[in-house]
Amino acid sequence: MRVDDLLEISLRQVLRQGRRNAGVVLAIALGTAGLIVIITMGQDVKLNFNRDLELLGGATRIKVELLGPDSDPDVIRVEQFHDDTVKALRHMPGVVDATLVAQKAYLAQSSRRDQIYGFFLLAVDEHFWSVNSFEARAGRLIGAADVKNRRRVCVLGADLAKKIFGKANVVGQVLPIDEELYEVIGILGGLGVSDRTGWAFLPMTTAQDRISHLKRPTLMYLRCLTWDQVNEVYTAIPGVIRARQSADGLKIDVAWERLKKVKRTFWWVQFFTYIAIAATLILGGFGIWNIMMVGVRARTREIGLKKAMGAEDLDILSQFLTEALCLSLCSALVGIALGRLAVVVLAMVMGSHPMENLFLACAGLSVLFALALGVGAGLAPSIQASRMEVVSAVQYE
Amino acid sequence: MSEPSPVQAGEQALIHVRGLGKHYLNGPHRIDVLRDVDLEVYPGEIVGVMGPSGSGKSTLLNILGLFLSPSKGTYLFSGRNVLDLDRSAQAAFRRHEIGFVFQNSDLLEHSTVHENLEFPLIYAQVPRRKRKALILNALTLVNMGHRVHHQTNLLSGGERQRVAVARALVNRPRVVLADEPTGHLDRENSDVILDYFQEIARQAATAIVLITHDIEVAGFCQRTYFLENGVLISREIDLHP
Repeated sequence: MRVDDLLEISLRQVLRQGRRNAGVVLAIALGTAGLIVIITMGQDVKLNFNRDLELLGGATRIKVELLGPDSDPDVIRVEQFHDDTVKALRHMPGVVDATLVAQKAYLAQSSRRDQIYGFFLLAVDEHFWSVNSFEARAGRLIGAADVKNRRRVCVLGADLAKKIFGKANVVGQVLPIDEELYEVIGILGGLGVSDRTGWAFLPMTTAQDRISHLKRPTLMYLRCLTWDQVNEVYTAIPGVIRARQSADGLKIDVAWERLKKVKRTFWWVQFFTYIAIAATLILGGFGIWNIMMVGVRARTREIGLKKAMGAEDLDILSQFLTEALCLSLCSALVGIALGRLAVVVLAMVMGSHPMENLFLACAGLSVLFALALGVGAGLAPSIQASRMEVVSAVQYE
Repeated sequence: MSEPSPVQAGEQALIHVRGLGKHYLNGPHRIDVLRDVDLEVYPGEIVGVMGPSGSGKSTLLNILGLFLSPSKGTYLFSGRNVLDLDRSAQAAFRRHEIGFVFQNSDLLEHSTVHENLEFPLIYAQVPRRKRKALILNALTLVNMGHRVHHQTNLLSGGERQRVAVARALVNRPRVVLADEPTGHLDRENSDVILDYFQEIARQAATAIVLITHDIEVAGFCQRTYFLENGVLISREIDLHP
């Protein structure tokens, strides 16, 4: 039989049995769409989830510290992070951002209306906020220009602002810190801000120029892309530092326990999602198998007639197998269309940009899977149909 | 009603069967369905096979169509032994040499008349551009050209049988095997079908082997055999003593 005839006959048969096939098409289409959405959007979901992990204690954040020969904060250490080390750590594979910070060794002081206030002060660079998932609740945060131009600006935690000024939104006010005046440019907000609401933040360069007893910048925070990269980055950090400077007293902290728990939770979520999808697809496969088996029985006389007309075993086998393939491929195509729609909608809702290549790869994978499903589910019934004897088939009631 | 036989001296038989036998084993018992059947069918002749139910008529037809293998005997088609053909060659034999008409028409349901007639052409790998003309020709032979795109389940019994005849003829086979083709039809429709058979046999020199238990149907045949308990008891019977 010619291929175009085979396709036409098979597709016609599948369409004529549309109502009976609808359930199977829907099951496979939903499974395929789910698979496409999970794989295509998975990376974005994971990134968002990782960003939100600050709520759980920063499981993807690595703390890198040079402690020196002793841990007395008063001792001015010789070693600190060099610029090229900071740059190298920031550009490590798997690291999304890194920040260098320095804390004032003692409480900073401010006075207003004859009241003196003591608070923690941290010198930061422009990367500090993204590494810690901080946002400006009001105004703006310290940016690269503030650091570069050594501007006398500060960001306050909301509680500190309220304590000093009696209100939370004090953007534009001037605040004396250790007897120098700074403009308040923003109030700190964001997911993991709870333990920083009483702090003040200055640009690193400004603080180095003007704040006494500022520790040397011996502390860095690295934010990994996802938890999958944490171990890899953790292992590589000493080598990256040693290649550029001494790593004496290096201490690297990772919230391993939290990371493990989060990974385990996510693994189970993923596992059950994949199980659900696999179950849907297997159900679809059984559906095709069942439809084909029932079809072979119901169409026994038709098979006999076709053989009487001169169809060979291979013609019958090809026709039934192609029908199964048409059914699974049609289902997959509907699934790909649904998946595409879902990806577009989700991307709009999440504000993300899923990779087009990943979607195309998933679509290709779905088609291949559908082919395998069609062959797997349709082969046995097709062989059964092809082996029927003409006499018994034609006389079948 | 019988017309003179078209058999001419020296003409080779299309179907040449000798000593054909078919038996089944039912436990220790052997059931002989056909015993030492000799049969010859020539181009353009209509041969009837009569007999009561269970006499082996359908078995004989199934063997002639290579649906069944005989237990013994020889079967030459146009001088060629067709009993040794493998399954694929048997299918090819049916595609090119044989047309079948069954008692209850057996059209493919929920299909159009066109689709029913197209299948034999598809299996014979006839190019698409030639199929339409062949289908229309076959339907015109049985006066069904106007029903080409009708659904088969909307046709009357007589129309269905005419479509079945057209389907058997669409590949221009050399032999049509018809198993009680008028069994479910009234007299008027039966006569129409039998007239078509006579027309086809005369025009295309197609041989027709017709199974029937209806003596009036047998009257349309040039030669009629009678089967009883698997034995072809008479090569020719006199229908009009």
